[in-house]
This record gives sequence, C-alpha cells and structure tokens, in this order.
Amino acid sequence: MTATDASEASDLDLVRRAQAGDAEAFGELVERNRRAVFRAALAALGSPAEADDVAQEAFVTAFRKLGGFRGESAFRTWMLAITWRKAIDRRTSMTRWLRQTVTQVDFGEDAPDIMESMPARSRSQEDELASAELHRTLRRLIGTLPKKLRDALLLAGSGEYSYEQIGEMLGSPVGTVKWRVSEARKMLKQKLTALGYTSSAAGALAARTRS
Amino acid sequence: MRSDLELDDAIDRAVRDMMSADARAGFRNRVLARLEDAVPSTGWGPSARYARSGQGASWFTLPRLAAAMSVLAVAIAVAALLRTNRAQAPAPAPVVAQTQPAAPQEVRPIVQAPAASPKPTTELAQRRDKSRIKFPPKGIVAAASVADPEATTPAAQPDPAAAAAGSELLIITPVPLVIAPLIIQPIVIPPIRPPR
Repeated sequence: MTATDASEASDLDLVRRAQAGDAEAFGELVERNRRAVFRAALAALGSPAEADDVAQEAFVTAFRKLGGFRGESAFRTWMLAITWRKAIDRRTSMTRWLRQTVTQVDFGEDAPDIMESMPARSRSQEDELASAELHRTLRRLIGTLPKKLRDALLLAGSGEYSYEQIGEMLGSPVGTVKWRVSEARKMLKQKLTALGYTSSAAGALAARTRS
Repeated sequence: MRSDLELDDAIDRAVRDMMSADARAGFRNRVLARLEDAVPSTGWGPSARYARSGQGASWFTLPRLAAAMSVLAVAIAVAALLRTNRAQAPAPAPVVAQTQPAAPQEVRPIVQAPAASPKPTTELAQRRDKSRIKFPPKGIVAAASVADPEATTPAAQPDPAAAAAGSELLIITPVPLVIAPLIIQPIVIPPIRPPR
C-alpha cells in the first residue's frame, strides 16, 4: 500500500489494514489524529512536554488494543477516550507528586498550577489588540477553575472537538458539557469583574494602571 | 452588554492561545519508534502482538510461576513434615497391665512428733520447747509418748499382688495409624492468549 492510498482511505479502512499488520496505515492514523490527541492531553495536563509524551503513550496503547476495535465508534473518538484516560492518570500522579513535594508551602493566590506552564502562541496582530495583562490574568484564572469546568472549557474552546466527542471523553452527557462550559465562562467573568475588568480590555488595563 | 461580549472574546482568545500548541516535530516517527521498541523484531501490526507474546507472557507468567512454585514448595514442606512426624513417633507397643508385688517396706517405729513445731535451734528455744510438752498425769500411759520399738508392731500392709489378682488384666491393642501418601500433581498453567 502506498502513502497516497493511505491518505485517501477512511479511518476504518486504515484500522483494518493496521490490524492486518500494515505499518503505513497505522502511521497515517497517527498523522491524522496527532493534533487532536495532543491537544486533548494538553487540555488535561497543561504542559506540552507531558502532553507529547502522553499522546505517544496513547497511540502505543491504541495500537496494542487495535485488535479489539470493532468500529462501533469513530477511530478518533475511541482514540480520544484512550488519550483522556491516560492524561487524567498522568495529571493525578503529577498532582500527587506536587502535593508531596510542596506540602509545607502555601502559595495562596500565587499557587503554581500546571496550566501556568502552557506556552504562549507567537503574537499575531489580533493578539496585540488584546491587553497583555488581561491575557495573563485570564490564563491564570483559567488555571484556577475547578477541573471539570476547566477541562470542558479548554476542550470546547480548542475548536478541535465536537460536543459529542467531548462528552465521550469526559464520560458526560452533551448537556452537562455545555453547562460546564457556560459555568466556566460565568465564573471567569465574575472573577474578572471582581478584579476590575468591567469594560473593554484596554479600558480595564488603563483603569488598573491609573489605580 | 458590550463589555460582556468583550470579556467573552477575551476568554475565547485566551483558551485558543492556551490550546494552540502542537506536538513536537517528528511525532509520527517517535510513535512508530516506540512501537518498534515495544515489539521486538517480529514484524508489524497487531499481528505482531501475538508474535510478541513471548515477551508479554514473561510479564504475566512470571508472577504466576512464582506463585505456583511457592505453593509447590509449601506442599513439599508439609509432606516432609508429615513423614518426619510419622518416623519420629514411637510405635505404640501393646500395653499389658501388670502388677508386681511391692517391695517389702522397712518397718520403722512410729514416732510421732509435732509436725508443726520446728526444731529449736537455740538453748532458750529448746527450753521453751520442753516447757510446751505436756506430760500425762501419773498412772496413765500415753502410747504416743512411748518410744519403744519392740512394743510397736508394723501395721498390716495391703498386698498389691493380691489386689491385682482380683482384677482383670486389661490388654490395650493400638490401632495402626494409616497416613495416605501425599500426591503432588504438577500445576498446569494454560497459555495466555491476548484479547482479540
């Protein structure tokens, strides 16, 4: 099978070929789902390095379990479910490790969060219009959201997944996912309002600078 | 609610920014390399999973083998212990109740002494001891106070042989203890097959 054939085939065809031992087919499945898998892990972990590692692990696990894939759901949905489980396991162990390491230190508001380590995208013109301070504040506030709300907000906000896929990943109905996203937004706005961001970002920044 | 919309927009931008990262270059190759590491040179695809079962089986079967070996060791130890106990236990000989005449006891004159009074050790104590002795009135002979061996005859002792003659001899026959030999059968572990 050539690379062209692989790129034109459906996910299910590629799965069948991979089940038969076609390396190229599985490589194509990796390529097609790489970004979705990586970003799901990133939403849970916040660290690109950890997300990269978990994404690789998820593909290896998927390969091992490929024999049991019956095609009842889309390969991507199945793959994302594996990824999410792995990412949550990693996050749990990371949180446990952090708690054990930093047990005596109370950082209060400035508590370190794995979301803080997320990389900033190279600034585009659109980004430059936004206040840098509001942006930083929002990143920090997103990191302080309850995990369930934060997961839903990041997964939905990434634009990578449908609500159905997010529901499959989180093991929650679509309605619950939507409510969590809405609740996360509401909490963020309340926090921003409490911090003085009641008008436009630039205006808020100016107000804060004056005060 | 312009400000609300602006905040919504700011949230969207922040979320997109946080989620805009991508896997490092060469992700596909790294995944395939991991798969090759996991699968020894037996080929590709899930079919290789079965060929890999030798490696996988070692992880699964080693603990099982270890458990089986320990069970076997315990069984052998118990069997050895039972055998040792059987060898050490003396074979119970038939017990015949026998009686023998008791050796004739030496007849000694009975001299009664106050058992409760300890022997006086000092002269004063001896005197005090004497003062406690109550002599019978004159004309009355107290046998207990007479220490005359010739005047005392040994009390008639019961003859054990005669006593035994009157009872039946009891023969106890032990029942032989039979221990069934312990048969240890090898544990058969079915080969592990990966889920299909």
